[in-house]
Amino acid sequence: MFSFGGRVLRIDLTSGAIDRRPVDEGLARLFLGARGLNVRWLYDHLSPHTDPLSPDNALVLGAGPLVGTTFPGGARFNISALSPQTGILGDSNAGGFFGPEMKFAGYDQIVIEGRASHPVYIAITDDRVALRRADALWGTDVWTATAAVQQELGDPAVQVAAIGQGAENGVRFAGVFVNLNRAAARTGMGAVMASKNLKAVAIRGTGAITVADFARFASIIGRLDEKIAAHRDYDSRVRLGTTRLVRVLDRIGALPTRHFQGSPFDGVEQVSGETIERLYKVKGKACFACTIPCSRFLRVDDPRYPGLEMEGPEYESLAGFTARVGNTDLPLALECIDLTNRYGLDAIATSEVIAWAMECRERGLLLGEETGGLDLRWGNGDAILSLVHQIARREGLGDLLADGVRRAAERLGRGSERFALHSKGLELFQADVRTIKAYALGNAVSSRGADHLRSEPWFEFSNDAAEGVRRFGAAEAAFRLEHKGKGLVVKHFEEMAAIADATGICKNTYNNMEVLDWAETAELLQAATGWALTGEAVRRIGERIVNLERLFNAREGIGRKDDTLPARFVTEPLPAGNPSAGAVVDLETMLDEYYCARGWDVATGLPTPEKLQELGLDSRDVSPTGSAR
Amino acid sequence: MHIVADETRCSGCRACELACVARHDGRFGAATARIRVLKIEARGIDRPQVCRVCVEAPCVGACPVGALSRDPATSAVRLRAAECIVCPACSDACPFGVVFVDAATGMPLICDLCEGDPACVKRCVTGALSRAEQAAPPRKAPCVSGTDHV
Repeated sequence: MFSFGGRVLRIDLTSGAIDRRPVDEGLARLFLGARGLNVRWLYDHLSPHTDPLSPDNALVLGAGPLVGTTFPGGARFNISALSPQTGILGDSNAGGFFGPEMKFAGYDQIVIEGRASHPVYIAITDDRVALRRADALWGTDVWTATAAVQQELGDPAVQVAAIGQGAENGVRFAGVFVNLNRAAARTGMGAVMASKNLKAVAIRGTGAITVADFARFASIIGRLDEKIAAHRDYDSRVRLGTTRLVRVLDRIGALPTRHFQGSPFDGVEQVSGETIERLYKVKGKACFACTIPCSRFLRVDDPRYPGLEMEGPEYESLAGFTARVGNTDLPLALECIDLTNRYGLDAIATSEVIAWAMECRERGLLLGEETGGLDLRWGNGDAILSLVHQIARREGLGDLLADGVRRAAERLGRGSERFALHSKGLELFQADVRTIKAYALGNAVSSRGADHLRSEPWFEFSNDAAEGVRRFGAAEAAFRLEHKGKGLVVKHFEEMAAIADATGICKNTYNNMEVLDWAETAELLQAATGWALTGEAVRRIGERIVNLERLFNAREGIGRKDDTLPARFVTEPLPAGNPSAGAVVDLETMLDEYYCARGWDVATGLPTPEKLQELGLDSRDVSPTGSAR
Repeated sequence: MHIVADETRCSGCRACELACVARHDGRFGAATARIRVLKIEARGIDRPQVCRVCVEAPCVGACPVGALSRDPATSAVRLRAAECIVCPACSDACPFGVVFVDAATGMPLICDLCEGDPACVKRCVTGALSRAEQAAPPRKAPCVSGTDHV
């Protein structure tokens, strides 16, 4: 199969059985790869209501057909399982160099099942697959484990996906990390990996990927290169990466200041991407073969954190450990981010549980004697840093927080649930969705719980009324504070995000910069795979993936009743003094429009039999009600 | 000519490796690349390993069967593959470790400068790779950048 690695590797850690078989081309034509083929596998093989931390759960790694090619940033892989954090679809995605190595080793998908009797890591070199003892690695952080695996295998360039102590200790939002700093951290895939006694997956491939029409593929990439280089965002993305958003989002009042209480953040200049660039940036860094080196290597010169060198940070972790927890101490924030990478924690969830605890303390819902002696005032660096350690080790207050904000609030009670900022159990990202309505809707309907990367509907920032009418039938679609048209916007960008994840490309280029439309995507995928494809056929693959993910979640009891946002965003207008003062989310109206656009039942929020038939999904896949879990 | 690498500008993306393999093999991979990026991730080091096009090339002198010669136009070392006896002499002789070996065939992988228009340089967006136009560097061990020995 052109542009595919060609094989699916299946490893049963309980029995040690290893199985390699050709990737199913019929399924690949319907779901492309990675996120698409992963959800297909989980839907077909997992029983409903499986215990996510039991050997019955499966961890599926996938790298899509554009991974390992010259597509700029065709570097990403997905790791999917039933999530121990949310109880629904777990799926996380990271760049770096692991995905391409999977492809060069000849694998599009690696399915890991069962549970090893003792700690192991998986070492793959092309056809050779070995389970190796990891007793000595258990208890080490991501960086130490990665280096130890590379040393033991005698190959400093072997690609390693590893977990840290957070996952081992049962932190439900622990992730899987590649290239030390690159996180597939959402939805607790690291916790699943730990439950299988699996410390790391190391992979080395010496093969190559052949595309169907090399000359045509190269010529399309050449055009793409020019488009990317000429894009208005190019220079700021290269200089600052996603940290450019600190200033951008401050201007519209979207920073998550003190747990989204709506006031402007008074530390923007101390912690902005520009400040990091000026003080600490050594050079730009990039994922495999990317023409936008948006990551940065930093050398942090601060006597409190000697030797602190790191790649990144991304906006999400930066805003999490600054505005969200009310902290203006930049080196402290960078130290916290480095710790989340080493412990292997989701920085978004970590910052949310800390911010939630601070708000609970402020409101008297968490009593002084319950904090283990920590002073949980906003921005107290000692407390923030201590909590990162405590969460990873499940010590003190960290033990409560390590289960994620939904469970923590359920355990604490006292009305603290109102301040737990999550949807479907996944913590919200670092932008106030009252100021950006398509993002609000996208977070509410996202198939992995609250998340922006399931849609990334940048278009509402465009302020281009004519384009709003042309593309989505409503001028309002182009304006972030408006609600009208956002159902169609989110549907469109969800399908784009699904294609990005299924092919293995980056949403910075594909969704945010929109470097390819549907027809151009089809042309590229046709050159890669040799399949006859139209733009509409590609879009439909994206739609099919979104629908199958909805079916997977419906089987776990999800429906319209779960497509929610925290009360703060739908009942509390942003206060005076915020650039978006008065803004609040009218979610129900947007949901109606979204389900209509999707061809889903508006009352249940579930795909109709007609929609499933249209997408070639078996109508047996329909869950009749979306009944409670 | 030769290719000059400045690791202070290298993002470590390895697009050069991919471009090299695409140009020579018409496929996408890294294992047969004639330029490689040494990465030490914990320290943020990304060091392109590239043929220096030595004036007196040890690899050429080491070849026991004379299968290596210099391209008169570019000075690049060229391999006559049919004559290669698949010994590692050229690779062993390279003082910079940039004569790589194809693990599948044992054949040396030596930068041929793509007939004077290196695909890796064209693909590098950061300016970490560039062309030096003189026929060959003045000494056999040109220092490629101020921080070559970090």
